[in-house]
Amino acid sequence: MRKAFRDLSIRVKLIILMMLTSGSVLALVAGTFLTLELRSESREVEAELTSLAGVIGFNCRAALVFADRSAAEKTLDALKFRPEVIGAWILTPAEEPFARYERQPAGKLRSASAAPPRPASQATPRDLVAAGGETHWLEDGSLLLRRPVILDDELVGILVLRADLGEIRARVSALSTAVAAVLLFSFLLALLLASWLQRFISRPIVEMTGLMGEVSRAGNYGLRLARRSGDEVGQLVSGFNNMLEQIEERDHRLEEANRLLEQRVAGRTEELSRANVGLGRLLEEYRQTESRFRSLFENSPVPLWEEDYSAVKLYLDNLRRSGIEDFAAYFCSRPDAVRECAQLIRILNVNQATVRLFRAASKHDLLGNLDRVFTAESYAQFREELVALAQGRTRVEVEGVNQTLDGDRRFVKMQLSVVPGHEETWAEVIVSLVDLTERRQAEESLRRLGKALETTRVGITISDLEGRIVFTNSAEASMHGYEIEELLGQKVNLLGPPELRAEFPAANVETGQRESLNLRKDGSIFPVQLVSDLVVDAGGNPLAVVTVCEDITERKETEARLRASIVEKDVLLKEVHHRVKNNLQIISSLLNLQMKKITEAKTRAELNATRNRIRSMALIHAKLYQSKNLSQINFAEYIEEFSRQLRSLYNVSPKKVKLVLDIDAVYLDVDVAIPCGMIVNELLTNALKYAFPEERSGEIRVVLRSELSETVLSVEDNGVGLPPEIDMARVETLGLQLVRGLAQQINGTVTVEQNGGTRVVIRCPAAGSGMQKSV
Amino acid sequence: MTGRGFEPRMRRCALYILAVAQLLLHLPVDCLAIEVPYEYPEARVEAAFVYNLAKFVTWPEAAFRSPRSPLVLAVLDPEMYEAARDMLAGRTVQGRSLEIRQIFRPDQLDGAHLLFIGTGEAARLEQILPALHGRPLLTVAAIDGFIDRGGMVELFKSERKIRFGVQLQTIRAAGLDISSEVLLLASFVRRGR
Repeated sequence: MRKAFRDLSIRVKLIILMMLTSGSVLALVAGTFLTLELRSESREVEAELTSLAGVIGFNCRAALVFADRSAAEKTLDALKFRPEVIGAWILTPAEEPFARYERQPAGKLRSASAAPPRPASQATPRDLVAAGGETHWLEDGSLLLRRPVILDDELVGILVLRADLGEIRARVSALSTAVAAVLLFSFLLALLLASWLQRFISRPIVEMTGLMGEVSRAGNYGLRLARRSGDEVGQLVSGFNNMLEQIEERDHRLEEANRLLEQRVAGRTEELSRANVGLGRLLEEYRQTESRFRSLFENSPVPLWEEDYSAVKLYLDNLRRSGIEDFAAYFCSRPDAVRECAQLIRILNVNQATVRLFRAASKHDLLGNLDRVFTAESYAQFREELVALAQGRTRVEVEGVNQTLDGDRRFVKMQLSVVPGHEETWAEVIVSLVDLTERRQAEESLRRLGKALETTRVGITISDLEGRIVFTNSAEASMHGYEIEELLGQKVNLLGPPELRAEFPAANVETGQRESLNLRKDGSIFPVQLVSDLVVDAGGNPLAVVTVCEDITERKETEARLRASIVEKDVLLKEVHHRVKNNLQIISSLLNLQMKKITEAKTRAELNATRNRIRSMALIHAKLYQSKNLSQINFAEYIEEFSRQLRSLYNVSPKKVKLVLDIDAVYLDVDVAIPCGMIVNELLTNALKYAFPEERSGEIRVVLRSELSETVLSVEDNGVGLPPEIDMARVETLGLQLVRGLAQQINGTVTVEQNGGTRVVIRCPAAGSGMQKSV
Repeated sequence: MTGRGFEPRMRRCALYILAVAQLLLHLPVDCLAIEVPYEYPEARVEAAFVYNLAKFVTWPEAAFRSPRSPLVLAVLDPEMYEAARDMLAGRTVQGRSLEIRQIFRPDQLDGAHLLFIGTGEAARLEQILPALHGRPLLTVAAIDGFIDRGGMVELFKSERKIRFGVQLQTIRAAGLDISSEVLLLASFVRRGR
C-alpha cells in the first residue's frame, strides 16, 4: 500500500494529500457537531427529568408515609402533561411496587405487569440514599432515572421515571442527513481546487525530470533549465543548473586524476608484490611454529584439554554483581548451577593422551560422549574448581573421578590454568590431567597388606642395611613386650639375647628358616622361629631385611610332651612284647611237660612241631623288645638264631647238614615277621627232618632277597627231595598247609621246584609287605 | 367536608386488601411509614400514625428551648404510652430526638409538643382541651367527635384502616402548621367551626 503510494506521480500524490487533509477535517467537524448535538439534547431531557423527579418525589412523600396508594397515583397522573415521560413507578423502600403510571401510545401496548426497570449496577436503595443522589441509564432507546424519596433523612420510597428518546433520535438523524449532503458538496469542491492548485508545484518538477532524462540519455551536460519562480522550486531549478555546470567541470578533472592514479597504482602494485614475498616467508615461519606447538600439544604424554571458559567467567561475574560472595555455599546448595556452568565450557581441543586416557576411538568419539566421562563425582570436582576460579585464582588443582568410555573409573588430578594473557576473559584455559588410578590402586593394595600385617599373629620386622628397625607390626612388638614406637629406629638385635646378637651388615644376614631364642623387654627369653630374607631392588642390590618371627614356646612345649609320651609308649611296648614272649615260653614248657607223659611217637612229634612253632613266635617277640623301634626286627639275625636253635633241637650236626643263610639285611614289621618266621620254621624243620635220611649229608640254603618290586624267600636243600606222589596243591600235612596259609597272609605265592632236592620259593609283592631294607 | 363517596371507598378497600397481602410477606421493621396490619394492637397503629404525622407538622421556634431540644410526645393513655415507648423510643423527628412522656393530668404538659388522648378520657375532654388553648401543642385522639369538641386531629377506623380528619383552624390558632401533603390525604379537613 505504502509502496504503491510512493510510486505514484507527484501530481496524484499532491491531490491525494490535499483531499485526505480536507476530507478528514470535514469528517471531524461534522462528527463533533453531531455528537455534541446528540449529547446536548440528551442532557436537556436528563435535566428536565431530574427536576420533574424532584417535584414528584416531594409530592408523594406523605402518600408513601401514610401508605395512600390512590394519593400516590394521583400525583403520578400529573405526568400526562409531559409527553416525553412514558412510564413512572413509585416503589417502597423494599422495592415493592407502590404506584405506577404508564403512557399508552396508540397502537403500542406495553405489558401491564412490566416490572420497574433497574439500573445495571445492583445498587440497593440504601446505597442510593448514601450516595444522596439519583441514577441515570439508557435502556431500549429510553432514558431512565431512579431517585430515592427521602423524608426526615429516612428513605420512604423510590421513584423511577422513563423518558422516550425517540424524538431526539429522529431530530439528530434528520440533522445527520443534512450534514452528509454538505460534506459531499464540500468534498467535490475541494477536489476541483486541489487538481487545479497542484500544478504550481508539480509542473517545474516534471520539466526538470524531463531534462534530467535527456542529460543522462545524451550525456550532454551543456543543457540548462529556465527558472520561472523565486520559491524553493525556483531555487531547485537554479541549483540543478549549477550542478550540471559543476559536473561538466568535475568530468574534466576526473579524467586527469584518473590518469595520475593509474600511474601510481602501477608503482604501488610493484611495492606490494615485493612485500608479499616477505610476508609469505613470515607466514611460513608462523605455520611452522604453530605446527610445532600443535604437535607438542597432540603428542604430549600428559592428557591436555584446551578450553574456553569465557562464558563461565561472565556467569560468575553476573553472580558476583547480584551480591553472591560465598561461592562455595552457593554452588553447594545449587547443583543445577554447577551443571549449567559445565555446559558453558567450550572445549577447543584435546590431545591424543586424553583420547588414550579415556579409551576413546578418536577425539570425535571422546567429545561426543563426554556425558559418560563426567560422573556425579566429576561434578563435585568441577564445583571445587569453580569456587577456586570465582575466588580469583588462575591455577587450580583438584582431584576427582572420571570414567573411561568403557566404564572404568579413573582417579585423576586435574590442573587448570588460565593461559597468561587471557586472565581477563578466560578464553584460553589449559587443563592437564594426571591419572592417579594406578597409584590409588597401589595405595589400596598397600593398605590391604598393611591390614594383613597388623592382624597376623606372626611378628614381622623390616630393618635397613644398618640393622635399624624401619617397620614392625603389633604382633612383633607385643610378642617382645614393646610398643611399636619404642622399636622403630632401634637396632634389630635388641630383640635377641646378648650372647646371640649377630652383627650386621646385611651381607651377613642369615636367610632361610631357623630357630633361635629372643629377648623380651622384661628380660625373659623365649624360643622363636625366624625367617629372614633380603629385599632387593630391580638391580639386585639389597635394600632391607625382612624378618618374620614366630613365638614357638607353645610348639616347643608340645614337642617335649610328645617325646615324653613316646618314651612311655616304648617302655610299655617292650613290656608287652616281653610278657608275650614269656607267656609263649610258658606254653612251650607246658607242651614239653605234656610230651614227657605221651608215649605215642606220632603225637609226640606233632606236639613237638607245635612247640617249635610257638618258640619261633616267642623268638620274634624277644627280638622285638630288643629292637630299637619295637615294631620291626632284623630278620637276618632272627633266622640265624632260630635256625641254630632248630638244628640243636633236631640234633643235626653241622658236619652232616650245612646251613647256609643268605639273608639281605631287611627289617620286617611284626605282622610280616611272624608269618615269615613260621614259614621258615616249617620248611627248615621239614628239610632237617626228611631231606637227609640216614647218613646222607648235604646243605640247606635259606635265601631272602629284597628287591624293588618283590621280596623272595626260598628254602632249598640238596637232599632226597619230596616223594613223587606229593602234589603241593593237595598236600595234607599240617606243615605245608600252614606254609600256604601263611604265604596267603602276606599276599605271597608258593612254588615248589624238584631239582635233585627241593626248593620252595615264596614271592610276595614288595609294596605293603612290611619289609624294609635296612640302611 | 365529609367527601366520602361510595365508589372511592370500594377502591380503597380493594387497594387495602392488596397492600395487606403484600405486607404479610414483607413486614416493615425499620420504617413505620406504612400501613400497619390489623392484627397489631390498635395502640401501636395509632402510635405509628402519630409519629408519621409529626414529620409533617411545623412548630413555632419558641416552642423549643434550643434548636437541639427534643420533640416531646405526651401520652394520656397507659396502653398507648406502652406502645409508643416500645416502637418510638430513640427515633428522631425533623432532626430532633423524640421524647415520650406519660401524663395523667393536663398540668403535666409543660414543654410538650404533641398530646395523644386515649379514649378513656372522652368524658373529660371538656376539662382538658380548653386549658390548652393557645399553646403550640398538637392534640390527637381516636375519639369520635374529637374535632367537634375542640381537638385538632381525629383518628378513626374505616374498613380496618386508620383514617383521619383535621381541624385546620384550631391548628393554625395554636401557632402550628401542617403540610398540605398531609391535608391531601386527610379524609376531611375543617377550616371553620
